[in-house]
Amino acid sequence: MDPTRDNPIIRFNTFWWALWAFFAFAIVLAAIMIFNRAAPTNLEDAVAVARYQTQQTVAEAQAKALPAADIEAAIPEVAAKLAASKPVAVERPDQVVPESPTSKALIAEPALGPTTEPAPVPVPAPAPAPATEGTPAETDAPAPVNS
Amino acid sequence: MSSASSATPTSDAAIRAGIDRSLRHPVMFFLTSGAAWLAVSILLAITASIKVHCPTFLDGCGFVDFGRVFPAHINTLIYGWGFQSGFGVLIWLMARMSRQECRSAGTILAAGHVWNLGVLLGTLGILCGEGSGMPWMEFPRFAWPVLLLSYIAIVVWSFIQFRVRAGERTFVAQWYLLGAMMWFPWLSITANTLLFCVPGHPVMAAGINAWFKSGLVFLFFVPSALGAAYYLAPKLTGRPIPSHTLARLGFWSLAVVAPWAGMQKLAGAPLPVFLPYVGAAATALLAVPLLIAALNLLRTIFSSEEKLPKCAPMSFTLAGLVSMLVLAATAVLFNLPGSSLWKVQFSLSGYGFDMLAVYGVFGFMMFAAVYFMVPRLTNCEWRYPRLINMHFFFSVYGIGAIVVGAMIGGYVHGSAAEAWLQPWEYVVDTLRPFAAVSTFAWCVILFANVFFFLHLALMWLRPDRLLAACKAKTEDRVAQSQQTEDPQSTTP
Amino acid sequence: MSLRNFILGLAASFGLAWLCLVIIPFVKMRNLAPIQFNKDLDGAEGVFYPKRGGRIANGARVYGENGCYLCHTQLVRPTYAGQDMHRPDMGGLQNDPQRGDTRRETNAYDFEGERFAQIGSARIGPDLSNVARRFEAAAAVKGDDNLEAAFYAHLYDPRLKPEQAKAICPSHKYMFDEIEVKGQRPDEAMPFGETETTVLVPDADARALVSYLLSMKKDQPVPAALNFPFAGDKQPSAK
Repeated sequence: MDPTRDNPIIRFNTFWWALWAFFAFAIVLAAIMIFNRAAPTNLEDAVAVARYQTQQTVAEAQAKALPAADIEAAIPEVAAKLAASKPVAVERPDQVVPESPTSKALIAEPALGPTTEPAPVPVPAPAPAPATEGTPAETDAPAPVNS
Repeated sequence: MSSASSATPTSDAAIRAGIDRSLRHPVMFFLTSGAAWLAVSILLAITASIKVHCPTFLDGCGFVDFGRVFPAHINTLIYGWGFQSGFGVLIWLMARMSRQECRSAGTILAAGHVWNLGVLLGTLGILCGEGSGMPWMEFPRFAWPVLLLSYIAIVVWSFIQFRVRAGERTFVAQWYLLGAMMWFPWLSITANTLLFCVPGHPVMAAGINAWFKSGLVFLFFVPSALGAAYYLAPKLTGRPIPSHTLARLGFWSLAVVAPWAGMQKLAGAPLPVFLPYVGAAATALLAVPLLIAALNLLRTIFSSEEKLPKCAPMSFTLAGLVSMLVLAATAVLFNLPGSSLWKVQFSLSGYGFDMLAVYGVFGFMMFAAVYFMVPRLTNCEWRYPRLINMHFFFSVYGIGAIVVGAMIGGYVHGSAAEAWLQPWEYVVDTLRPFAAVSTFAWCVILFANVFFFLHLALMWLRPDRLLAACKAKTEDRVAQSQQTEDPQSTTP
Repeated sequence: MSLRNFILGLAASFGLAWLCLVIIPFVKMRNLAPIQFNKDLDGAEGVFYPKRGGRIANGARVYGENGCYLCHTQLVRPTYAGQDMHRPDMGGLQNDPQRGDTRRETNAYDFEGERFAQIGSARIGPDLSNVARRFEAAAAVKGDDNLEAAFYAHLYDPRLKPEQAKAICPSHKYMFDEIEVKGQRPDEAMPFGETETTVLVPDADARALVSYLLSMKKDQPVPAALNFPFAGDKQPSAK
């Protein structure tokens, strides 16, 4: 009987060496996987590359076609034109519904031509005037807008 | 082992008795729970097998759907019975050969219960539809760390016993058992980590699974069987192993060749082409270590003119060796790439090959070891030799039927599947009779093992009226063993 | 030989195979580069992506949980490894009305979206790589285009159709719920298994599985880099 080999120290050491041996390949595998932490290649991602490129091309083309600075400069001009072309209410006596309050008011005061209010008349006088003169022409202009 | 010759036969017997006493509870626990899981597995196998030729049997209920019952059968066979009977035999053999008493019986028993719990929960998981879908690894993902840790808690003590053994010589059986002890954790950690924890390519995952499956067979079950055989053959016949060199060659050829086998299951899959064909070549080459070991052991057993001892361990060892020869032959015949590989790749023969390895080779050797160990552990001889006979003969018939049904039938089935001019109904019609043979085979094996369970239970329970008979027989045996048992004769 | 050398010997013999068979192929295959179509050879551009619609991940999980891989494979082997390519409806359709012969071998990109390629253990039932194409072709012949219903019917009871009376596939009746009809018949009610007051409705597993099976059309055109020439149906060999 060889007494030196069967002692608590050897037993303790052997226990841990055995554990190392059992897990040897697990440790090597873990070491290898540290260098392979990236997700596996995905065909979805590969196909997405072309899609993102297309998206980028389109975005660039759009950006080129619609330069922001020019748009900024043009806004006041367009705004003024829009404000000027705002249609004004037009009096069409033949379109007044009979028996309606408007028709009764007209009957009561037929002298009233274009819609006016007594108080504001003096101030916006020049405005309605070109408006009434321009009415026949204006009736054409709004029509395309309205249609 | 020269130092042991100074021990007298009675002190030798005392050492052995001390070892057996220290291991009684863990080993009997593993053998009994292993036997119980074997019963469960065989019942599940019969259910699954019936469903192949009579699909309306127990139809419509998810719990017993074929796709769940079959994996439950395989996993209970491997992890419930295979590993537990392996544990029982391994820890006893390692203790006896290192001549060390077991000091960690409590830990081993606790770990054994944890193992059983893991297998139970895993099996219930499969039957409830939570299986992983990976062959031979169908337990839900929580199971494998539990099983691995309890495995280590069971076998590490045998490792320590080997290290602190007296003397420098080692037995051949110890090499195989140490190998099996180391190989399983390496296989299990690799396969389970790469399949459950690290995302990878799906086809490579299937390849690693096939490699793991083959590794379990040839790097755990077959080495455990060979360890038991290399212990029992010299022990029972009293003759030494004839060639130590051949034994070393056999062991190292297994160690070098077996890790390459497995991926032939995926021949033709979109994997690097060398993987499946190296696997096929390695599986065929495994005939070499199997034949070497069989040769060595058969020469041990038949080397002299004396009659063989007529006992259960001897019969089962011989049956295991014959199964090993058949396994070696089929390993070659089923892995010829030009002709047979593509026919049997997806046929019933894969199952037949697995069952031949797990029940034929490993199972018979485990039964041999069990019939040898239990009387020494319980101090009581096997009471009913007729039950042992029934167990033996019906097991042999059952495995024979499996060889015919699954392996030959599988070859026929595979050939039918390759006949591309025929519709699929032709293939199904071809395999149906062989599935029926398979059911018959499992029924025979169940019948065989009923006697085994009964006998084991009787050994455990030891009814009082048997004690007297046991005592008489035991006294005879001790008298005999002091004359014939001699550890010197087991070393080359 | 000391214990230490023994363990080292075991580790070396195991480790070489471990490295060459398992680790290196695993690492290389998870970084498999996509294949590009070649404009001149293939007449198409971009990455080859045999994208499958449907609930691939969930369906693959249900497929695995219910053991379909035990009897069905999903692998069309090249001609050096088997006769699969010769079958008229395994690798694709031999006589597709639009494209002619669409049969092709399984390639590494066919399992995109799944964690574990269910290559299969045995062929007790037919290969499923192109099962949806087969069902489509059968439906076209019959003039009924409800493929989903055909798959649900097969799942519920493979022996429903008289021509499949000897099918071995188990009935998956447990994947269908029987619900009482109160008022309008639900949209997802199955055309079979009705009684006076109840209808059958597929549960989540059945829906995922059928969606997965409907995606099984693996006969898309492949780039020239993957297109290994198939000489077509030769005479059956002496083997």
